[in-house]
Amino acid sequence: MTRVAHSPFATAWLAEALQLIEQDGPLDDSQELARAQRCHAAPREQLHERTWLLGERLGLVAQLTRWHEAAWLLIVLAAAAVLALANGLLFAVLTDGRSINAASALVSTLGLHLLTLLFWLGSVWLVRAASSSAGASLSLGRLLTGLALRLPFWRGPRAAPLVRAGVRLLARERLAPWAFGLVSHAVWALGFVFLLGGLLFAFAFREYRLTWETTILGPDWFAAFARVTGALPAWLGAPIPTLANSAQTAGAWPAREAAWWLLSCVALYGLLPRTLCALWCWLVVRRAARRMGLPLADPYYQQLLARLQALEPAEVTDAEEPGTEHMVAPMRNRTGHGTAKAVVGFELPASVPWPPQALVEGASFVARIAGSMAEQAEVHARLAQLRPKILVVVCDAEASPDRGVARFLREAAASAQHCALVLSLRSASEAGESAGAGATGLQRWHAWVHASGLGAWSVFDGLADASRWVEAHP
Amino acid sequence: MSQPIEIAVVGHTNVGKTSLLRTLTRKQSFGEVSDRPGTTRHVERIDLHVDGRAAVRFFDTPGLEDAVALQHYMAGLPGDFANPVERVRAFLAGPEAHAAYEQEAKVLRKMLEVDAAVYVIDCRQDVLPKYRSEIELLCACARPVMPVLNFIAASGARADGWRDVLAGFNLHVWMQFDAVAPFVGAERQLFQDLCVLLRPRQAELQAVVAELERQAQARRVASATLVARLLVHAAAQRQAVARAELETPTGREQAVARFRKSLAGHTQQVVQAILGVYGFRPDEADLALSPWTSGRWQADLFHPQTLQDAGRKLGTGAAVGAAVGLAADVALAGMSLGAATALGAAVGGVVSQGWSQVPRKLRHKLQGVEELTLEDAVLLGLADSLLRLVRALERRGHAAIARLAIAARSGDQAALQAVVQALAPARGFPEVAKASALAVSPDARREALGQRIASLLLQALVAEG
Repeated sequence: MTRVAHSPFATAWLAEALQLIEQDGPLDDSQELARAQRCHAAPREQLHERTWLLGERLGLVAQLTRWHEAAWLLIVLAAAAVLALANGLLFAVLTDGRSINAASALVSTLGLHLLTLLFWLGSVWLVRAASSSAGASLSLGRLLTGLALRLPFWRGPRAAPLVRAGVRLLARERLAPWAFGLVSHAVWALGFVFLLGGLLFAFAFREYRLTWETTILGPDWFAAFARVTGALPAWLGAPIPTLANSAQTAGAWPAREAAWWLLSCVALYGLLPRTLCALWCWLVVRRAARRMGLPLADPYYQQLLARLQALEPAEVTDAEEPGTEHMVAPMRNRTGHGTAKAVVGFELPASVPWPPQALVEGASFVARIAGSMAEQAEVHARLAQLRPKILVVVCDAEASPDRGVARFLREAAASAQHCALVLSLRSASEAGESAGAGATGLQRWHAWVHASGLGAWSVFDGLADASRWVEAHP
Repeated sequence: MSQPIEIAVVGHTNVGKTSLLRTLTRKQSFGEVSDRPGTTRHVERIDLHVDGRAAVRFFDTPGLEDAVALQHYMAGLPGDFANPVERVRAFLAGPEAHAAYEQEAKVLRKMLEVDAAVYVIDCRQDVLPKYRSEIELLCACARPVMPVLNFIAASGARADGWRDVLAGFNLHVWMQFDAVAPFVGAERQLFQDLCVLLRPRQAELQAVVAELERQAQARRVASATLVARLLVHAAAQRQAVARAELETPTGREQAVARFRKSLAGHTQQVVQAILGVYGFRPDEADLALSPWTSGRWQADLFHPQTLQDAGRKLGTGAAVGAAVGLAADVALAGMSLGAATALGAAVGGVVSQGWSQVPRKLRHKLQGVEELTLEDAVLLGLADSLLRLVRALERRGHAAIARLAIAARSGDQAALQAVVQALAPARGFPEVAKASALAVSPDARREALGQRIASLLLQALVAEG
């Protein structure tokens, strides 16, 4: 199985099909997205990768490959169309034995061709003017493509979204008239090559009478017709047939000149424009196919980009060392406590009133420290000296507890018999600006005391509970 | 190719370092955020990409928890140190860097490696000695430090105290932030300010700013496009109802309910897509969506007062009854107005809705079928609500946990009137399949109108944003 190349066109086609499929609900693309994220750095390439990965999983790529492999079928179809066309044209020319009605032959070979060519030019103009893709719906190329897609050999389970996506893609890129035009121009051009070959063969080895006949026109008109149509070929050296002026309604052209005139007109007005148009289409389609990209500005892709961005991995560069979490000195349970009471405010905000009357009554040591090393050392020294029975430390409930606080509490607890940690709530006016912060702060402290091995401490929310506890420990 | 700019995010424990990084990198899943102190105990790296390559490399560090003791310890380190950095190195080489101060050592080690540091401050707290110790430790590393005053909204007068202290430590460039509710362009401001500290990397930082600008604009355009497509679809939406059905209250109610359900479904789809564009989780979206899909949404959008306000603002004046017409009927199940006159008024304006509808309208007229369409007032309300959603998402940090609620509002909607007027041609558009209503349309006329509406919406966003 040959693989379809990851060309911009194929990518855009697959992406369009995926977008169509996802209109009915999102695909589970988390694996593909993660893989794409790992494989490429640039967002655009990541999206391409996702497209192909999903396309392969959903069988869209297999279907594309099928079409790719069976492209010869389109060529066979086109060849059949060409032969039919050429035969039809030849038949139109060589209807009547050895006698050819030259003017009518020219009109019938070039008439339909010129009409469809004009129609195609019109559709190109319409698309340029940004109105619609209506013009392309009737082209020979579209007819052939539609026919080919209907063949059972080509159809797979995933053909439908791909066909719809292809049509949408061509419409979005305004390529429909060019892509379908390429097919029809090529068919016409080949048809004219066959026709010219057939005519050349016939004129070379057989004798034909090239005639004219009319009911309402005069010979002058035919002479003028030959002159006008032959002007361009004549410029390239082809002869222009002339008619003897008479009042007849039928006659014969000078056979040799008329045959050359017929051939050169078919080549110049039939083969040449179709070849040029086919070339033009091919250039436009090729350039567009190379430039084709995913429209990243579309909300669909912006959502994917946001998801890709969220997938960017974070990497731990300096991992947590196991076992260091609770390296704390064991608490020394000293004896010989007195009956004193100590109250310490630790790292309290300036707005907290001090001292708290409910607690300090009868206390032999009351201090409030902001937490510098010198202050801490002083408090520890005083506590070690005092050996209080009851130690109350007041902290701000809304501040985050940390290891610094834990160290202070642990050291202080070593000197006291009963320890209480009081979480001071901020005044109502202050709490108003961060409503709810108080409650989460309290929870945080309780969980932290539990987790930090400060089991010796009783924790109280607010001063009221704490003073009751103090009274219970006289 | 130059090396990415490395920035360490440092600060006391529980000040929102990880939240800040979530906001800066637009990644809700980054790290672990909780109230527990010391949630982050490792150094974690996350990159900010420009054109597929890492331009800025952030390091999320553990919180500094015991700076006071560490500073004391370091001051007592024996030996002669030529400068503070040498002292920090001596500490890092010593045993306590892996014992008591392991967490702080990680921070300081990273500080010595990076180009600059962002020092996150919870400015709801008083400036305590421990914070001064932190700043001194960080400054000892001799790296540019950008203080970020987090939770500025709830800080009150304390922020001034912080600014004074920072100036005292020679930190004159600082910025305000709120990781949970950042103002629009806050992250761009941060990088711009970093330019001042990192002169040599200015060009790269400017590239980052430009890229962030581009991405923000792309998100905005994408969501405006989504809203525009919904509006075009909603304006083109019509529902044929037999006249006989409309004459009974229950029939009317059912018809209106069907219509409303279909519109609500599409709106929900768009809301989800917009959330996706801004990189918010779909499960979060379900939460955030509840006001849109529950009765409240209907109450907001179809509330008679909303409609009357809108009708007045659209210049339909005192004749609110007739002007709001079918919309009010749609909203209130025809309970407020004489249904027949209202329907007649709303169905009548053939010229304004385009001639292409005439055959269908004639057919319906002959068959005794009425068409329900959305009145301009509903479209105005829809556009207004969705634009407010977009604005709210632009301001929403990726660390935010609270759900998003968009409530009804009766502010100045002058900018949106142009949008509603421009939607008039959409009423003549054929209805498209439900699934593809929000995708790019293959119909060039529809697509062009969508783009026009989107650009008007963008103007409205810029005007208010």
